[in-house]
Amino acid sequence: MSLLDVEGINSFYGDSHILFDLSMRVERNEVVALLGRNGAGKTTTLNSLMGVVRPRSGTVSFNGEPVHGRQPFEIARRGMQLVPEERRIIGALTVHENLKLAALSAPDAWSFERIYETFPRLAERRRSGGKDLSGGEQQMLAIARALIRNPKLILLDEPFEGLAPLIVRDLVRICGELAAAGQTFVVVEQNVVAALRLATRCYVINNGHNVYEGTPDELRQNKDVMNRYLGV
Amino acid sequence: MSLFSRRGLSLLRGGWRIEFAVAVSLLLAPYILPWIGFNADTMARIMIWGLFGLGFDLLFGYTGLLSFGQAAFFGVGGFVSAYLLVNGLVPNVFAALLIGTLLAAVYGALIGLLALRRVGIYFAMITLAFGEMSFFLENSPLSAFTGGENGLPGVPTPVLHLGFATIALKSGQWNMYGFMAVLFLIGFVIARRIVKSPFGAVLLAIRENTSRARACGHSVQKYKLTIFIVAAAYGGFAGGLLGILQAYMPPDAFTLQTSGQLVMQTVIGGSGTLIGPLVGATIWLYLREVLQHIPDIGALWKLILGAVFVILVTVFRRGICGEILRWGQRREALATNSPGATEVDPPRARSRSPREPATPEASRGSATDDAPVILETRGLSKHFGGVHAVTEVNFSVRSGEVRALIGPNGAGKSTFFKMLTGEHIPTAGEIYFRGDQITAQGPTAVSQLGMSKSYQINQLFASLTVRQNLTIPVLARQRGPFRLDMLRRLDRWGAVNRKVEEIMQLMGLAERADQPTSVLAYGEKRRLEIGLALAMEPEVLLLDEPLAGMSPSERADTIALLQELRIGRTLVVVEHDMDAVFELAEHITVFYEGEKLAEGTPEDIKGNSQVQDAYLGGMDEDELA
Amino acid sequence: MPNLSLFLAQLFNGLALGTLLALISTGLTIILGTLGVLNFAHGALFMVGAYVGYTVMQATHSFVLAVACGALFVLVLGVVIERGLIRLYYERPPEDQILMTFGLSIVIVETVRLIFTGISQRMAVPDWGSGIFNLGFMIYPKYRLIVMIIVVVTLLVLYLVLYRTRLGLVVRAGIEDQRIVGMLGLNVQRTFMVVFGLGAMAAGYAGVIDAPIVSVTPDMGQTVLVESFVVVVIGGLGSFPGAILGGVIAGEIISLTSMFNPAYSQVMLYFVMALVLVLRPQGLFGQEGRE
Repeated sequence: MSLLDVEGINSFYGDSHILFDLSMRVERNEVVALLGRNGAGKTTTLNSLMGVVRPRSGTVSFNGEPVHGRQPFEIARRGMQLVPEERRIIGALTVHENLKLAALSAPDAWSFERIYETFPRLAERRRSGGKDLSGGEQQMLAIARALIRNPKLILLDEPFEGLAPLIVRDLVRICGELAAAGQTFVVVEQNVVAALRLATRCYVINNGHNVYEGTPDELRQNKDVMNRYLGV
Repeated sequence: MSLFSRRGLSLLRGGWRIEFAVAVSLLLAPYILPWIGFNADTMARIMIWGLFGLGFDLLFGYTGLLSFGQAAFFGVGGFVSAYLLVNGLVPNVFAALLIGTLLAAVYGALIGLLALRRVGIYFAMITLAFGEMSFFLENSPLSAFTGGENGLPGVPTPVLHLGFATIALKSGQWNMYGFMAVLFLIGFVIARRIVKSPFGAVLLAIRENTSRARACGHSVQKYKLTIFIVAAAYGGFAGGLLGILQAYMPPDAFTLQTSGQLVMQTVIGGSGTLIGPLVGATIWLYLREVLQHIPDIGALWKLILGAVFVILVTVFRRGICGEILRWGQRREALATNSPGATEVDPPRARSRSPREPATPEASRGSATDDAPVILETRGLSKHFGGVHAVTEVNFSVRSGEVRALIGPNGAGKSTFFKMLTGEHIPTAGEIYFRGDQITAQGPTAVSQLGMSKSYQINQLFASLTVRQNLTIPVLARQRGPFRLDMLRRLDRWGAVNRKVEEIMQLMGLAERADQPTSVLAYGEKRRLEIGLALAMEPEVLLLDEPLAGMSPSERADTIALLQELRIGRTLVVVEHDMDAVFELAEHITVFYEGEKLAEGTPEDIKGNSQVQDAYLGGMDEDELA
Repeated sequence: MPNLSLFLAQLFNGLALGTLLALISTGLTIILGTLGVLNFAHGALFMVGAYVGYTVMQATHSFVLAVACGALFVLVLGVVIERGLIRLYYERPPEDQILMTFGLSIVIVETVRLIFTGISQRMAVPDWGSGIFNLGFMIYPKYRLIVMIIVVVTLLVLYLVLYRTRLGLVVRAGIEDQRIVGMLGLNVQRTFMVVFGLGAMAAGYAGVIDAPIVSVTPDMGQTVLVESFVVVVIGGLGSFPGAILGGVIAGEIISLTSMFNPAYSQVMLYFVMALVLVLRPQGLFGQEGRE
């Protein structure tokens, strides 16, 4: 039984059809990259998993239980966590309060010490308001906020978007360490290299269809797919 | 065919049919309604509330501004007219009414200036508070003039000298109803003209999507203020009539109950229909007058009304007239539309100009390097809290050029665009358009100067038709940011309608002209989005991800369209589709982390290793090729 | 020329009125901030609290019981309203929510009028509250003084709830971004229900303790509603400190201007609101760009 099993979902935004019969699966301890051009439907895929968008048809099974049609908070309580593209840090709360908020409904949350060890930068800024953080710090907090809930699966939506290379390197290292320790991830990323560096398997999505599945190495070899769906 | 017709006004074909129908109804009403318990006095009152409601419907139903303070204007108009008449300062009833109406309008301008600084919930709260303020002003500080809690008794009833006859109006008699009904009809005809005018078209656009109306080049605030004043004038006039009807001006004209009754009557009858408030007033006053005299349930009339209102708002938000008109429209649509005609083969944009197939090579290089700089930024920055979205960007585009802006998500391209159009105020730096500073002048001014943008996420006027949508920018182009052409008929303005037709043809939307945008396919909506920007005939057209979400065939059509649009225009395009960018652009600017990373011809950019690292994620070139 | 002791007395009166307004407005503003719903029935809920308190006081002569019943009744009423009606409006434009709650307020007011008639009632002042108290600079009714202390303590409790409890954390986060709160495993819908209930309770509670001071009528909520709108506009949408400061400012304006010319006290209140709108449209504690 896979950790996540998606069967033929169709999702819409208003009346525009975004995902077409999309299927995918995620095993435990995997890092799965979702690649594809802008507007291909990657973010919608993550939102459909998390329940932010309700697929009109198809099934999403998480940890052996169907979760499609459930609300985001119910899915989050079952151990899935989305780190959204816009990060959505609560500006009116401090860093520490943001983390506390996230830990509220998690039965076996990480301790704050462990989180601050993983993200020393956040420990320094624990009393700062969310709105005063830099982009990189916000992204760290967004990931930390997911992590503190000790989820079975973390969905990262464009985690490296708009960040300086040094910070990207930092984040890639941290995520790599977490993955090595057994954390399961799904990563949506424009930065193909960073994504493939982390991933153990990848899907390519194009126009709402799942068009390719393979390992990062296989994908690197497959010039045709690289050019058609990812290349520039 | 009437152009602006959301909630059913399309039923009302032909120039004066509706006005005629209303006139006949008003004429017949005294012969029918008394059978179910109406008397002359109640019906005259209904006319007053109907007039009051006409102004409010223009404000709320057509412009989307929910005011809870209309009683202020009803009261001002009423008390000024009554004071002038009671004290004999102005002997003529009509002159007194006119002065009362004018002062109500002036008061409306004053309150509108303050209240319109906010929108939505805040606007409702503020108008309510100012309404209450007016009540307290009337009640004590000004009680020497208004009689305070006693009101002003002794308002004379008018005597009409018609030349052939002299009629002394009297409360409770049918001649009073006739007088009020004629005035209502005049008010109705004027309101209908406003709705059908170019001015009215802009009001609808403001209701549907205020920020897009602004981006289309309309001075939204001025329109809002104007219609607020018009609504105040209607209120003042109706208030004056109330004093005349009752021969007494009651202080409760100023209360929140008055404003609330107006809102409820309008919503019950159907907002955005003009006739709705009159219908609502009929129901309200009928329940009050008739129910009250039935034992056991007499005391319940207001409770029943409140409950009906809550149910109506929850389930039938369009109100009585609105729902009837929608039902009629649906039947009409079923009768005229063969099923399937809408979806099977959506029309495409005309993909090539008929003259000759424009190849990219033929049109490329149209901007020579010595063409004048049309758009320039110096040290442009935008920070949001701790996030530096755009940092010190120097950027210039020559006239006639096609420029692409590329960069990873979050690189600051959209923020940069928003500063160009005036939607964001830069933290630092300047923007020059044709050599003039346009920094922070706002979207309306930028659009009028000749630069407009199509949005990444469609910003359409959702419940208007394609034709109505495109009329909005065309009007801004033809008549500037603001004009008081409230009585001009839009459907007879050939130049505007021809231009709209032309753009619909160009964008392949002609067959969809009279469909609401909600039924369009995604690609069609996308084309309408670009069409809205294009209809301003901009010198510089900014396109924010024009190809986003398009199917391959739609994409090809749109690229062909852009090739056509570049002729005689400057295009700046944000786009992720690199094939399209390399096909279209003469120069490319690369954004990365809010800064300008590189700039040059497509060849330069392809060969730039920094760009490879940043944008392509540092993949080796052989890996990509 | 008014002398110092009169000035102090009015200052004190303003504080008493202001804290009560602050309490009512806090309920209004957290509902507005969290749910995005401007509750036009807030004044009606205040009135219901007063009537329940009055009834219980008549029956039992116990003030504590009256306060408890009044507050709890309105809490339950609030939850019922949220589940039954408000819930249907979260996806609809704010104008629709306003229309509905406005209609609802009429239904509530008319129902009360049906039960109690429109005649104004007086709730008895509890025994421990009767009499006067000498403050040194002025003599003040004992009950009013105690009410002021009760209200200040209640505001303090509200502060602790908002800033020291998990519910408060969720509410403060929800005011800014309810979607992420849901994605972090918290049931936003239930929080909405609780917030609406608590906000309503604040109004009902204020209604009971204000009832012995004012006359109890079905229309008593209207002035309160409008004044709390002014407080929210001055203080800024969804802001607890804004509601407190706005409440005290409003109370002092009403009280101090009535020292010079009572006729202008209400007018001045709206004038100050206009001033805030011109100089700082988002309110004293409001964030820019929120509507």
